[in-house]
Amino acid sequence: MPVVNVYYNFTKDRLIDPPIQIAFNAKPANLVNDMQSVDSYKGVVKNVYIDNNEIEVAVELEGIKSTNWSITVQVEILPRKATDKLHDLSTSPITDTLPESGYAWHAKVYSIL
Amino acid sequence: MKLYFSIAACLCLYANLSNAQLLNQDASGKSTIIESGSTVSLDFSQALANINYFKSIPQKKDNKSARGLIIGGQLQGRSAGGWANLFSDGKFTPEGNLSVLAGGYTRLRKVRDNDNYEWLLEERVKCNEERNEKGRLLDEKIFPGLINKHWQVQDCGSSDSVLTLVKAAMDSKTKLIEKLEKLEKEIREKASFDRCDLQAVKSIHALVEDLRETAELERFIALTDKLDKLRTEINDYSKRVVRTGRLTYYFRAGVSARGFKYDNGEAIKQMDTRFTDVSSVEPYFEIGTSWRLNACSYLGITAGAQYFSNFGALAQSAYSLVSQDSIGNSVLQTKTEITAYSGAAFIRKWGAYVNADYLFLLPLEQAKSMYLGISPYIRLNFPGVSAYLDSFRATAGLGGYFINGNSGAFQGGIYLQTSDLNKENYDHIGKTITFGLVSKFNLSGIAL
Repeated sequence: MPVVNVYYNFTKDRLIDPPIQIAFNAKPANLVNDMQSVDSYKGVVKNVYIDNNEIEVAVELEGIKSTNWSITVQVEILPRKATDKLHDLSTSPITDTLPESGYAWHAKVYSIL
Repeated sequence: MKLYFSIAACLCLYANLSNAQLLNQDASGKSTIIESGSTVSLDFSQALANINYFKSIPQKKDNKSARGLIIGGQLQGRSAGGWANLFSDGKFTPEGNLSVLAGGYTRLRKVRDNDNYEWLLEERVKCNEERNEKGRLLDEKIFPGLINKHWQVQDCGSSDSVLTLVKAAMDSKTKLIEKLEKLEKEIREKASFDRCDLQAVKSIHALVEDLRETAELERFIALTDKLDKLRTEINDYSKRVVRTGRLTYYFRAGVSARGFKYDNGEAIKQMDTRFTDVSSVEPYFEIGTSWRLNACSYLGITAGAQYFSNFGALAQSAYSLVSQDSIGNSVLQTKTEITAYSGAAFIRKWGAYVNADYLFLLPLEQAKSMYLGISPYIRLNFPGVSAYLDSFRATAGLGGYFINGNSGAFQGGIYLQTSDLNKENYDHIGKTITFGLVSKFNLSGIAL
């Protein structure tokens, strides 16, 4: 069961509320610490366990219809043994638009390899 | 005052360059809808400059925080005689307005069916943690032990590649047995089936049988299934959550001040007494509520009391005072421009008012992240006694503003405003309508 550190960079239109939750394989990010500005969050979620080399990126948002958000996810696979080398970061940019005003939970599964 | 206006104008120009914003406003620069953000606005028709700042302070440093405080203030300047008078000596009639605001807000959120949603989120996190714990146990203790028990192929040259495949299969524990059985079948079906392969098949088969009896693996798979179910349930559930926005309630106090020359009439023959300087300070205070009904619409209502004056009913006149001096055979003329206001009397009186605004954001299909804000509003004044101030006055208007959804910047727009709807000689709306062009610049965008 590989363990990874997930680096993420989330940006949104101002007419989207502050995200209620951003989670990777159900492990939530600390949004209070990671807030860079009203429309930008950046941080790392450490020690996320993954199966099948896939990771579920869940973003819970609410805001006005047709507003945009995006998240860039970089995954650092942690070495299982001390002699293992760190893998290069793999990057998955994800962009989406709120389909309707109100509440929305977007959960998507992305391959990290 | 002129200096302040010039500074305000420069600020606005700077703000324009820095992509600066504000919510809707009427002809006097007022709005009952309060949202956090800071804006500078220029109303070209009213010669009005306005800067305001409102900040939300959450009770807890948490995005889910339902309550908080809001504080802010507004500074406004206006030239009663229009923009041109700013640059003409003697005609400038300044008006200033300063107000401060303090209040609180509550986020309103309601789940349509029940309050199960938060529990689902917590259950998901707990389930994930337990699953990770089981996964780590399988990785660190159970799998290596089982492999060592069954894998006695140290003397077999081809075992390494098979071992690698087995370890790869272990990474996906949910379909582990299925993958191992597939691997066993592949080795059996090889064209050249040697002793090492036979040993590998036996080891894999024994491993599969042991894995079937491993309670931790069963629990891990059960937790994975539960997690998938929770994910589906949360996704379905989140669509049923009804958001009811944010309710802001506030107290605002302020003071309006203006200075002008009052014309006491032709009967007065002395210059000093004919035109007198009048300074009027008109305090007001109000309580209000600003409700974000949903993501797209806002409603604001305030009720307050103000020290009204009848300045709006005074007539403005421009005079030129010419004085002559004789220098030898020549005459030297000095001309002084005077702007003065005249009427029955300049009266001030306490009165009450009620204001209401509604704002609806309409997405523009043609332009990405652009919205049109439609804002009808009404102003009701219930002044005190005497002449101009004794009648009920009602003013209505409609504003249209553009907002950039990406930056949250209100980018200005236009408004149409009627004068007194209750006026007795009010006969045709076209004669009394006011048209305004407002440019709004955001120092910080509105953030929902």
